[in-house]
Amino acid sequence: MSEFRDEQMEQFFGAAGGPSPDLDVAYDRVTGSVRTVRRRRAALAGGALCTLLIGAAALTVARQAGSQRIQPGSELSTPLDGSRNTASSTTPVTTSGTTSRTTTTPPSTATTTVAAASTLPPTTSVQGAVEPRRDTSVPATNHVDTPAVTTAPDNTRPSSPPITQTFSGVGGRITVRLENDSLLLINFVATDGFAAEVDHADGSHVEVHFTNATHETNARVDLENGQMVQRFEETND
Amino acid sequence: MDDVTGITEVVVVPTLEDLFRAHYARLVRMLTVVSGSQDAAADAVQEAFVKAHLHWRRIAGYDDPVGWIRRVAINRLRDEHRRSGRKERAMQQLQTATRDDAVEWSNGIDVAVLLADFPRQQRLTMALFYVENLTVAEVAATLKLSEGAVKFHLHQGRERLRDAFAAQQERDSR
Repeated sequence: MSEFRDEQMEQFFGAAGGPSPDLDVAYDRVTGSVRTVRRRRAALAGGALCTLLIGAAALTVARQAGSQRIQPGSELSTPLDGSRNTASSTTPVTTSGTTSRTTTTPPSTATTTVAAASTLPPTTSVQGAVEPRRDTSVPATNHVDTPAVTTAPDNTRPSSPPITQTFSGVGGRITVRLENDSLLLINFVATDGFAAEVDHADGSHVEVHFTNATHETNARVDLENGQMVQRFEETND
Repeated sequence: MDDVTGITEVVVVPTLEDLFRAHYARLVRMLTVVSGSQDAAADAVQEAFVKAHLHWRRIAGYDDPVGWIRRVAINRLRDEHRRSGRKERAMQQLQTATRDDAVEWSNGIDVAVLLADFPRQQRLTMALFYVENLTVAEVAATLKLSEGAVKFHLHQGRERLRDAFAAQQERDSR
């Protein structure tokens, strides 16, 4: 028994503690508070879960939208199918209504050679930067010694009319348009027996390589001072 | 002689409601002595039981779940007093001589008025010892005091109360 146990003190503090509280009422208050707290926690957890799900859904939609966005290509250094771009001589030379046609002669053996060399339609060998043609095609030629310069009026942009030129070499020819201070490869035609590989299809220069077993033509056109400058290199192996 | 085997010790774990019904009233009275307000005491104890309810799986495994609840209630009361200054307001109410709800001892002494002059830790020590019937060691553990400090508070508080009783009885006898 502790030395501090004192009946008088216990009586005193018993009175100081006041009357005994109602247990049932107090317990109901406790359980009610517990239910309230649990409801709040459940609501918070549900809200957090909803936020998470909505965020995840938004992220998924954003990713899907991003994957479907078409990015314009700046260069045509690689072909669409990942293989070497081997355009054949069956690629027709086309001219729009705004350009003049080059003088051409039909190739003698073009059809058989092309059938063996190309697995893709000729128009797909140049990527989307190449404009679709509207007019009828013209058969390819083997040799064009001087570039045929054609100028066509552009009704939509009278201030900077586009200029379309065709440049030819031993391995083939390319048709390039100058518009809005930028070059664009319109078309290219490989000479019979040559394979074509597009290096640059637009921008400050256009470049296409034509090769066969013994010869290579590096057909390049640069944009200098607002003019197209032909820089063809002919190399014999 | 029969071989006594298979004796199994059955430990009955009390539910929280059992603990509530066994200890709630005493906890409230103890904190009423400390705070001077039975409402504040009841709020603190009920909040402690709510916390115990929410964490009962963990607290049920403690050696002394009631001790945990008691400490939570005391801390809750301290925080409340510190936060809102209710302590000072309660003291002013307690020291008002014309209170209608004054709790009087059998001699007619307003015990709350007497206790209001005591330091809080002394009131708490005495309330735990005399209302909760804890031992000196248990009071020391609850308040994180040394046993010597608890004995000091008990001794000093008892002397002050006795002096107060004597003075009150002397005034009454005149």
